[in-house]
Amino acid sequence: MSDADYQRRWQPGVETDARDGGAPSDTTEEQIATEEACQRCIDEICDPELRREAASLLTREHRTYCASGLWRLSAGYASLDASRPWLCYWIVHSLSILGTRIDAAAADAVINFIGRCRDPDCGGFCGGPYPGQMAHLAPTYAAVNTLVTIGTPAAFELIKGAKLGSFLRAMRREDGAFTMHHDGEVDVRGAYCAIAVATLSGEVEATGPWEDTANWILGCQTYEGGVGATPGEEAHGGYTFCGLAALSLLGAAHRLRLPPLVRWLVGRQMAHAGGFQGRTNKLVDSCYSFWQGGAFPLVQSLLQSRGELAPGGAIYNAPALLDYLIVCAQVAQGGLRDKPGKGRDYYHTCYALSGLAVAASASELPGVPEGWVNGVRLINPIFNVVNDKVEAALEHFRAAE
Amino acid sequence: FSDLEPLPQDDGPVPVVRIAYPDGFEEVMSYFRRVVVTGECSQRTLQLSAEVIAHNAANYTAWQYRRRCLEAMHSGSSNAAREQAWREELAFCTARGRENLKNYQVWFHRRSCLARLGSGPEAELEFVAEILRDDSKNYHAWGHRQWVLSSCGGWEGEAAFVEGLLEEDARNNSAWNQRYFLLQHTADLSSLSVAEGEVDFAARFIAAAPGNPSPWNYLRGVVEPLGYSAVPRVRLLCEGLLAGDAASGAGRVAAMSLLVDVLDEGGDPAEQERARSLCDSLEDLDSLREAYWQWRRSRV
Repeated sequence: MSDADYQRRWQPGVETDARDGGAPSDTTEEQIATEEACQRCIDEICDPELRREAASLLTREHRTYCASGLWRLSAGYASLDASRPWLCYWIVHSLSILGTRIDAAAADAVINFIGRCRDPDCGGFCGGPYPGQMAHLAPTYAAVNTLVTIGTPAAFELIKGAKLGSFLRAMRREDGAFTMHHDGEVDVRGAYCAIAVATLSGEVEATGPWEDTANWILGCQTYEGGVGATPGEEAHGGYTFCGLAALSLLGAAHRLRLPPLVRWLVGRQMAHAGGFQGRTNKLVDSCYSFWQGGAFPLVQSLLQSRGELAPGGAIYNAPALLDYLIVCAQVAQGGLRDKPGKGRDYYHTCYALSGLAVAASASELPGVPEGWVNGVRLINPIFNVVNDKVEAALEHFRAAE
Repeated sequence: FSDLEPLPQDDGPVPVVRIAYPDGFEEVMSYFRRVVVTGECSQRTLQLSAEVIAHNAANYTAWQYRRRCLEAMHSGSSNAAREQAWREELAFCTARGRENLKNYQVWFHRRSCLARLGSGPEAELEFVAEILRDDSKNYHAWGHRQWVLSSCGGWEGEAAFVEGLLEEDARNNSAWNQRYFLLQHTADLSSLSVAEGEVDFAARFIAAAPGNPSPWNYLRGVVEPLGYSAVPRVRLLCEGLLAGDAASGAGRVAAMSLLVDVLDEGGDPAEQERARSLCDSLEDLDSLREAYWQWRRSRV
């Protein structure tokens, strides 16, 4: 993309649907307010010449923010008291994307803490130390991803001792879908967490067969082309990623209706500032940089394997996504936010940086300053863990069989 | 609770992601932790779990514990007493739910209460409608509404309800999705006349705001399985918009984008040539998606 293209896209008042004037509503009002907030951000950082070089990836600030959260979190995080392995994952994964190795003492502390979240009876991991909470598929996924990112023998030992196979079997429903915990809700997250964890820990064979799971997920693809939480629900970025990644692991992604999926995915990138929305006619949110952005490497590799896309070819706009992340989503003091006007938090920091890592791996990034992507590590988009750590875990558990 | 010894959280020698808990949080959690260990199911543990939920509504263990308590406490009760208990539980869930609309636990718990009560859909559909009045795209509320319809019925009023929401906000994509859901369950989607009716319905909204992606996606979703050639009014809609000057920017892009698929479908060389030239134009008009349009062109 040339500088001229870049400038044209960022001119104030760029013509988006909300500004067309047709059928004004809450949606158009909120959309215009968000476009204006993004525009103020762009003007402030990149004016007067809309130069990309004026903005940079605030690596040092993000490291400081993450390193602090690894130890202490404010009272506002009490609502995540049943998601503490997630907090570990968001922070440890963010640091690993930025190429920051946590020291041995910190790694031991994380392993020790996650070990305490293990449910010794049912297997799997809970949202906090046991006893007091039940095993749940989401913190189990977060715990395993954290341990794989740390990647030491002690971390692998803990995965091996977590009775994941029996926990996963207990969460499987007769129709192949997975419930998030005993007597809990069922949606595509469950299937994704289950197959991701089973793959990383070498338990796929022992927890199959998976045919019904694949069929159940396929039934969640909507008329729009994306995937909803359960059959019938609206296409949504988070569930689309979960469905696509799970089907990729199950070797069944080609059974999705691909042209509508591709059309839906590219349609969720926002013309104004380049980020992604989670659903049709919703607002941009940096976390979808990964949930939608991370779907592209999976879809692209599928198209490439069928000879429908050149090797290395892309079908989305990675430079524009980077524009949104670097200029609109970063907080000057470190950390990333949903959108301008919102505060930073570890969830958005993790998924914005994960999206950044996906975009950074695009084979061509015309017009993107080197500093935006230098030093950002390659992630495996299926698991959302840095690539070499995924390889090491797969290798470890293959050898252990 | 004087007979219960609180069981404090053990974060280990070097705690990580340690939360600065607000006042009272740790004390309540310590008692609850003890109760989970002893397995006591009683009025007081039910009350305790409510306090846990007041501190953190996302504590899935506390919600599940309530279900476990109620089951155990009423295993020998009369049907009337059991029903009364679950009715009270539903009221509790309603109160907590209004404060935590984006929480998986409250919605799942609600479903559990309703499944045990086995009442008709009217009150529940009205409850969801009330939530949607304030938050018209709430994903959990829509999912719950689909569950109510599927398990208790109440389909007859749904078309009017959804249409009302679309009149208020034509960009409420959740409402469009609900219309499709309704059709899937109550109409024959392979019928040509149903598809034509839905195209006309979507076209009315497209005329008012041609750049609104929701009715375009809906229209495609309905017609794609039948084939565009089976429903000629789709092509007429696109050509009409492109010939006039009512649609600017996003509206023209939407019409051209659908026309590419329409022209490509039949395999006619002249039509396909036009599809390719539309892709060329779309590369400029929709420059954010330049790479996609190049790919789409290569697939014609």
